[in-house]
Amino acid sequence: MGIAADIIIIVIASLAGGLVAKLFRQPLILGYILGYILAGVVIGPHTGGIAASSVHNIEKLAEIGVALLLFALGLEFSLQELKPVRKIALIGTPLQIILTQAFGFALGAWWGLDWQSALWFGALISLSSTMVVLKTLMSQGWMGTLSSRVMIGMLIVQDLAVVPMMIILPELSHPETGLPILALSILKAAIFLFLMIFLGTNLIPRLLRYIAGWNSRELFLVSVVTIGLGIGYGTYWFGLSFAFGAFIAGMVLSESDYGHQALSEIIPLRDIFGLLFFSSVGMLLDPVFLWTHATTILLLIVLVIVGKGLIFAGLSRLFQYRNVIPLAVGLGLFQVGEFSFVLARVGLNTNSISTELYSLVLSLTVSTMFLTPFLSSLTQPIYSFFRARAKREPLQTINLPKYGLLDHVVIAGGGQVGQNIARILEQFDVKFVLVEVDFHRFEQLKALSYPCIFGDAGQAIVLEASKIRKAKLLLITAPSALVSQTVATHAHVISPDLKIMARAISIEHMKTLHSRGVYEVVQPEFEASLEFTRQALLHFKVPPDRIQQFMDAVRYELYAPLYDADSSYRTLSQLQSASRLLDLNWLSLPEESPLIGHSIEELRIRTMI
Amino acid sequence: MTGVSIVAVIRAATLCPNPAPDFVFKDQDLIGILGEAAQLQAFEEWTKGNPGHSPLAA
Repeated sequence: MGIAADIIIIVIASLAGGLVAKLFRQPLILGYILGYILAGVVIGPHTGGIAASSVHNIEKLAEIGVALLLFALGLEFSLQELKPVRKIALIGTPLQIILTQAFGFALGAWWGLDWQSALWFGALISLSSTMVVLKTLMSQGWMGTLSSRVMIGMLIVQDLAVVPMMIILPELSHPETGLPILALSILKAAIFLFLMIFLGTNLIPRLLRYIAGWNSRELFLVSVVTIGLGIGYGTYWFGLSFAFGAFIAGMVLSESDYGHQALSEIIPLRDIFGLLFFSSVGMLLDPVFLWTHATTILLLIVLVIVGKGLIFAGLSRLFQYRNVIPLAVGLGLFQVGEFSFVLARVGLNTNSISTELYSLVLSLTVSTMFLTPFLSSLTQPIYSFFRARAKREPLQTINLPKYGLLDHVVIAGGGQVGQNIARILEQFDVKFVLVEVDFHRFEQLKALSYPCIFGDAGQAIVLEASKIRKAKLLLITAPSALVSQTVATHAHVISPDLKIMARAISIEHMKTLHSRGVYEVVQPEFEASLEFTRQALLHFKVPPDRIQQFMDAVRYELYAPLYDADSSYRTLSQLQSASRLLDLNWLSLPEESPLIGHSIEELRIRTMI
Repeated sequence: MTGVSIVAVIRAATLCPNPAPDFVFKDQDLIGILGEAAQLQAFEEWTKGNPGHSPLAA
């Protein structure tokens, strides 16, 4: 079966690799890449057993994978995201690339590489991983924070830098003739870009609208692939790289109204060809080489993490970003990214780098990607640790009213729940103050101009700063049992009469909270399920009072352990729900209603016939 | 003549709780009413100007 059998072996092995990666609970996208590479190593020529027979042909197919990766990247590209952080993104990122290049060059020289290979090494480690960072930011709930914007801005510019690197670097191997060729390549790229920007942005969206008018999903997909790969082939024919054209085609398409649809159509294709690419990356990795050079590689990993992390942190600091941001950016972008695979492959194919260097960069990339979620999650603890050490720093308070706080609500935890409560309280003119320990969230609250205090609500001094003695209510919204218990205990000591409401994680947690003097709890998952049921039953035309009765019964059952001692709970809960039971109906008087202009008395509405 | 109680009226975003008997309705009034389902329906039909369709009239 030849290449067909190879592809089947690769897909099966990659599935197995993906499953192994999933077992290790890596964030999914990253896990899959690692799994595919692992599968590639296993079925590659360097290891025994089942092997793909025509690695060379697979590599050719993998080219399509690279082009599709870049095409999709171009489709996702958004200039809008760069705007708020344009300074560090547009000036800082090139600086970062140059600095990391220099650092990599020095490391390469130390490892004993010739100058060309050392330059390649520098370029390869200068790129970070968009995929891994995005996934990590999402899983940590940091999307939307200023640090995340800085990181994404820098990543976008890095991704753009891949393209010129792919053109320039291969020319290093022949420096005598290289310079004119390089100049020619840049000229060609400029002409191509000019053509695409002025013709492409006009022609392609119009063409796509016409094709979409056919209303055939299949033809739309084929057209999108044709545009992406076709323009890529055009640039290849023109003497530039295949992937470069695909990237520019994606960028042009992203500006059209059909960009999103094109992206969603292309993703499955990209993932399958991407799988071929990543497993072929693994096939070229020589495990024996890694084993024999283990110490050097480990040392290099540490040096790259520290060096690159420091460069990012230093640049953020240089561009006037303060507080947690330099640390977050350093611990977020230290890794070597997936485009190093692409670039390293270009290097290998043009005989610019040796297979040893290729294996080295590959292992460096894989291990630093792997460490990203872990190291990035250390941001907050490290930052808190240093803040706690620097005690002299005054407590950071923002937007607190000048006339002081009285009869206000203290909200411990400024996450989603806390923010929603704040928004509603603001509408009712109820005074409140949020207490948040995560700096990213604190920045969010600051941007929303809510009164807030940066600090751990579990510390007496922070609670004092929130004027807890004068407060009417304390709401603990933090989703952690330990945090809410500590906050409740401290608050109870400072102000024994204060009413506290807390978010409970479980029934046991509810009991613990009760013993700390918290008499009102909310269990979010439970309340969400009740609301789902309520809305669903309304669709089935169950009368609202019946639903309410049912809800009360369920609530009573769940919250019963809290109120066992308190026999008055049932009366209380019945009173509480009375307002909901009174099924008040609202009716808007239509324009020509016979009631208009008449009084209630005249109409005798209450009187029955 | 429907049997419903008028509990409140909202006019131009202002709430008028428990309106007096001499309260005169205007266009676009939002009326809060309490009553049995059939009474509510009858009242609604009435406000639309077709009491003939109300189950009570029939």
